Amino acid sequence: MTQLSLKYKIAVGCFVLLLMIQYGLVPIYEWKTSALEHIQKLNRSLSRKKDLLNHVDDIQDRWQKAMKQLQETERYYQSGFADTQALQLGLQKKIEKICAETKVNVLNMDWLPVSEGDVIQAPVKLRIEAIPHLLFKILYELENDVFFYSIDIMRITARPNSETLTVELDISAYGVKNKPVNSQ
Amino acid sequence: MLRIHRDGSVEKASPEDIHNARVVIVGKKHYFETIKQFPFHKLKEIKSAVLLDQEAYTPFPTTRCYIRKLQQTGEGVRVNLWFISPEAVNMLEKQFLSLAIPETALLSFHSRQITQIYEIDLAGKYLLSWVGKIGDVQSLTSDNNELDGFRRAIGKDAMSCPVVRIAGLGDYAVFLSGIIQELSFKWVVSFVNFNLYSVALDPRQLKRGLLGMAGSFLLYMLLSVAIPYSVEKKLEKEDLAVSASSIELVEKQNQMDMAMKKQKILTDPIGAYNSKYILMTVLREVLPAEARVSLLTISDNRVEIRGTTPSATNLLTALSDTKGIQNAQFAAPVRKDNKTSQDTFVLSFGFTGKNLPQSPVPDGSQGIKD
Repeated sequence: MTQLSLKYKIAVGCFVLLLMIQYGLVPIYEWKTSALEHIQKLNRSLSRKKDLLNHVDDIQDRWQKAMKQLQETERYYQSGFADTQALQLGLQKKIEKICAETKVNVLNMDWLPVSEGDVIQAPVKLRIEAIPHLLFKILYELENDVFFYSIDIMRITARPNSETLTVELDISAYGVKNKPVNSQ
Repeated sequence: MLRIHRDGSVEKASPEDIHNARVVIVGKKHYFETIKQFPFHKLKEIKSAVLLDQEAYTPFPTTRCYIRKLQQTGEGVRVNLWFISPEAVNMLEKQFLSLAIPETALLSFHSRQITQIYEIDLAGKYLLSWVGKIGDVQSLTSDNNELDGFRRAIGKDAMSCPVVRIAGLGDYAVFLSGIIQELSFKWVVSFVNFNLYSVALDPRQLKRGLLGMAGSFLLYMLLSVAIPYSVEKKLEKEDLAVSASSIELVEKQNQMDMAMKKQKILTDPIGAYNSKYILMTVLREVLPAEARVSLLTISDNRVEIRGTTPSATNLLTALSDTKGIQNAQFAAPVRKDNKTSQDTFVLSFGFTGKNLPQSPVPDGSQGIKD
C-alpha cells in the first residue's frame, strides 16, 4: 500500500470536513433551531392551558358574556343573503317602502360599488323630492331601523319660492358574510 | 548560566532549564545600559525611536530593548534603557512567558528611592551599580574595585552616598532572590518576556490537542442536541396530558377571541357613524326663522351650508356655541344684499353626532322596530 503525501492528506481532510459541515452540522443546527421554536410554542401552549384550567368558572362566564354581546351587535347587520346585490336590493325595497308610506317622490336610484371584506357595505344613491318634514321622517326611519343603515352623503337643494327640496342621499346597508356565532 | 533556587542556593544550569525558568536575571555583560531623555511621553513611541536608530543608543544591534520610565516633566520623559545582546535574546526567545530583568535593574527595585551604590564582589570581578533617587541606574564592571573612580564618573550625587557591599556568589544569589520575592507586578511589567512562536510543535502533543478539541466539540454537539430533544419530548408529553382536560376550555377561549375580534369589526362602523337626523334637527333649531338655505351638503362629518340670513355673524356664533359642532367658519366672504338687507353666506363646520343634543321623534314615525 502506498503512503499518502501530506498535501493529499490535507486535501482529503478538508473535503471530509466540508462534507461533515454540509451533511452533519448544518442539518443539526437547522433541527436545533426548529426544536427550540417548537419548545417555545409548547411552553406558551402549556402555560395558556394551565391558566385556563385554573379559571374554569371564569371562562364559562366570560364566554357567555362575549357571545351575548356579539349577538347583540350582529343584530344590526344583515346576514344570510345570497350575494351582495341582495343587500342593495333589500335596501332599495326598504327605501321604496318608506317613500311610499311618506308619499315622497323618488326621482331615481343607482346602485354604487359594494365594498369587500368581513363587513359588506352596500351603498345606493337616491334622489328624491320632499318637503322638509318628510325628509326628517325618512332620515329618522332609516337611522332607527332594526338594521344599521348609514347616510354617508346628503345634498339638499332648495329652489327659490318652492317648499319642495331636492335631496341626494348616499345610503348604505351593512351585512356580514360569516354565519353568526350561536351561544350554546 | 546559573540556576538560583528560592532558598538562594546556586547551581550550574543546563540549556533545558531555560524553558522552565519563570524569572531570568540577565547578567551585566549581556546588555548595555544607558539613561536618556526623550521629548515624547509614550513608551511605544520611545521604543520605536530607539529601535529605528539603534546606532545612536547602543554599541550593538539588537531586537530586544527594555525601557523603564523614570521621570516625566513638561519637556519630556527620562528613561533607563537596557539593550540585550543578540546571544541573550536568542536564549530568551526559547521561553514562552517569563520575566527577564537586567541585574542592575533588579538592584533599583531594592534601593526604594534612596541613592545607593552597590558593590558586588564576585571572586575578583566587581560590579558597581549606582541607583539614584528616581530609580535611575548606572553601572560598571571591572577586574579591580574602582569605587572612587566610579563615584567621580557618576557625579556629585554619588560622591557621598552609602555603599551596599555584597561579597561572593552565594550572598549575591540570596540577595537577588530576596528582591525577586518582593517584586510587584507594577514594577516588572516592562520586563515581561513573551514569545508567541517559542512553543515547539510536538506532533504527539498536537495530535492529543486536536483529539481533545474534536472530543470536546462532539460532546458539545451531543449535549446541544440531547438537551433540546429531551425537553421537547417532556413538554410534548405534558402538553398531551393537559390538552385532554382542557380541550373544551381551549375551544371556548378561541371562540371568545374570535368573538371579540368580530365584535370590534362590527362595532367600528356603528361607533363611527354620526346621525344625520340629529344634525338636521339641531340645524333647524339653530337657524333663525328668517334664514333661507339654498344648498346644504353633508359628507361624513363635514357640513357646508349656503344661504341667506339677517346676520351671518350671529348664525356663526350660534353654531359655534352648539355642543357637538366644531370649527364653524365662513368658507367664502359674506355679502350683504342691499335690497333685502340679508347676508349671503357660505358656512362650513364639523360635527360629532354623539355630542349633539338629543332630538325628538318626528310625528308619525314608528321608531325602533323589534
